[in-house]
Amino acid sequence: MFLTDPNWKAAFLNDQQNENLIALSDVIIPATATPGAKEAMVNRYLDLLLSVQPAEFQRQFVDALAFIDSESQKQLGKDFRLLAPSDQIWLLTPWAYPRQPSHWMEQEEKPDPAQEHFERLKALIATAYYGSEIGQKELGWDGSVTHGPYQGCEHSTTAHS
Amino acid sequence: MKPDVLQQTYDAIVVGSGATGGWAAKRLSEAGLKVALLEAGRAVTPEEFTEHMPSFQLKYRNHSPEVMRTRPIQRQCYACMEYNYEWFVNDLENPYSTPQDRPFTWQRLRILGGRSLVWGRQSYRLSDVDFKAASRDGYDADWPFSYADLAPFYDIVERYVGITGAAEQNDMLPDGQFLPPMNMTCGEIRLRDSVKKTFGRTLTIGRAAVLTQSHNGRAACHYCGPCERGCMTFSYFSSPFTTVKDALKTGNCTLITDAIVSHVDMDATANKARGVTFVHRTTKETKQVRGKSVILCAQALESTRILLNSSTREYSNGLANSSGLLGHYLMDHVVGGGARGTFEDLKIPPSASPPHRPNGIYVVRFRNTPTTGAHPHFIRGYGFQGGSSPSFNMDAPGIGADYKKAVKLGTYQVSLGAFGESLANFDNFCAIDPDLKDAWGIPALRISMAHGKNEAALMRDAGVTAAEMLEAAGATNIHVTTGVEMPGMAIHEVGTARMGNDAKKSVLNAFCQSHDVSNLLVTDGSCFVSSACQNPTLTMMAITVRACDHLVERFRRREV
Repeated sequence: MFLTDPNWKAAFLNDQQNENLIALSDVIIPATATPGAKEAMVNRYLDLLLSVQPAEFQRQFVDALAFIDSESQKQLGKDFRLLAPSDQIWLLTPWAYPRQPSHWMEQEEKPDPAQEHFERLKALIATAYYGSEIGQKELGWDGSVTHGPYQGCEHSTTAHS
Repeated sequence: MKPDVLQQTYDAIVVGSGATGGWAAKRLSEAGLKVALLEAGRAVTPEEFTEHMPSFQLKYRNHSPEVMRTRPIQRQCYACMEYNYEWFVNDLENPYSTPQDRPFTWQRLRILGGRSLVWGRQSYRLSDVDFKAASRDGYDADWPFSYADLAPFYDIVERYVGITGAAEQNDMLPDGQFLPPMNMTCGEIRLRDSVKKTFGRTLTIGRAAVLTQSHNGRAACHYCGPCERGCMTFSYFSSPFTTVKDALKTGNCTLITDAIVSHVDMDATANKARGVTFVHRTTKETKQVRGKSVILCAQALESTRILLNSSTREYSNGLANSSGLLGHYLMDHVVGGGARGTFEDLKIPPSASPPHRPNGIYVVRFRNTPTTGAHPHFIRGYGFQGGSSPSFNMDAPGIGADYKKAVKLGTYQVSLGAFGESLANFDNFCAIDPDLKDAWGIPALRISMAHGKNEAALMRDAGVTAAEMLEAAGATNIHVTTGVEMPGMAIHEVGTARMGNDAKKSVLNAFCQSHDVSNLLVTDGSCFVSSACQNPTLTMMAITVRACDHLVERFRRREV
């Protein structure tokens, strides 16, 4: 309701950052049988949130977005938002899972700044998506304020012994 | 024409309209006394309740910059949100200081009902193991009364408030007058049974001031979830819609809102309190109200601040402070120890729709009890609050459709967090900061408190025992915490005007009456002698009723 203004303008992000954020959020939480991050206007909520956050928070977010673009340029020669969807997934997937050391060499893997950047963005995108009306419906929210008394466990008395 | 409320002399002036002030006003006015009830904040109406408003209808979805700017301290409490932050004090207008190495978080509301609007509702009786703890372990002092003295007043309070809970016949946590208990989840039943079988410890459903059936004209809980944002059916206990309402109904109680009490006024010749002075919240005018007795129910630190600001020639270091103990022995339950894990085999998905149970589970104290004996590393004990239920897994790895699926599938969580006894310690105290005043020109507090070695040992032990209980119940992915959180975090501050039979060693007598000034009472958490480990509000309310009944009796005998 605060984000659906047809004359919406970003309060914090520039055009390129905004476009990148839309593309990124829609790869992380795409439309499936249910709507995804783009429909939930994740970019607009995060723009509003960022506009009132401390400078350090803003800097970390902008740096993370810029990092995704620089990796995209380095590995695939294009800005992230211009990649084919399959290439976007190819770029992000390795950062989206816990890392383990290489099996081939007995050396400890260094902490991966890419993963830190990615996880920061993913966590905020998830917060923005699941905090939206679309996201709440995705989680089973049906608008009811009550469904009667709390039932708790309905198994037999010995089911959990 | 309405008579000027400030031109009368009341039988009793009650300062504060929260859990204890509401009871004082109800009890005294129903006994026929003329009561003035003073509240520092404004009135509250059900129209401003937001318990049914989804967070996406808030502009910042609970990240409002106004909350961050004006409530940097209050927002450390989970209940202070974009929804209701105006109920909490503005930190910029209500400063207090602490030594740099002794931080303290002070959560307060100034509105009719005070913290009873947003409290956690957990309601547990203390037992003689608490009231007579000093006799058992030699630390500090016993309370000036025993469980048998207070039990009838627990009964009165519970019957009126409505406490859901289950009887357990456990001497550490006396049973009360319970409404039907709320049900447990699958994970909680598993944990309860395992804890009993493996360790002989008692895990019970939380005892909470939430109605599980209609009670005294209030409807049963409809399980929408966030009580701290108000309740249109008044199903959790808050004073404006119960005790204060009853008091006003008698016709004997005059409510004066926006009255920020700065000090108690004394009649030096008679050595009696003759009323209080307050500053009007919006006009900032200074006014007086006159009474034959004064009952402070403003919250432990706030009531103590009023007394410290009431110095006279006769009482130069604060009123009712001939003992020199006023402000000392500040306590707040130690929190920080516990554990969490998952029950991976329980495949029950979470849901964002109700019902949401506004209550958890409780593990009754099992350390240093008459049956378990003395622990080698610490005295006193702790209880656990916690719960076990499925929750959404936002931290799931991956991206795309698989991630969406994993989030919804969720994980079945189980957690226990300890509330430990905070030992009474003279060196934990509040005093007036000579260089600091609030926005109404009233001298502010300097609070100096730190938890000690015993509290640290309690939290370390709580981490160990929580983990062993979760493990025995089959939980995996167990994470342990053994830290000690900043004092104030439990929002159970008590003890700054302790009761006792010896006027040299206490501020109040066993009926919350000042040893020095016989018509001055303090019935909020200030009067506690020890903190025990149970949530204190139920006990504060029972003590208030006991003290007020005693005051009524003194009025009948014309002693006041």
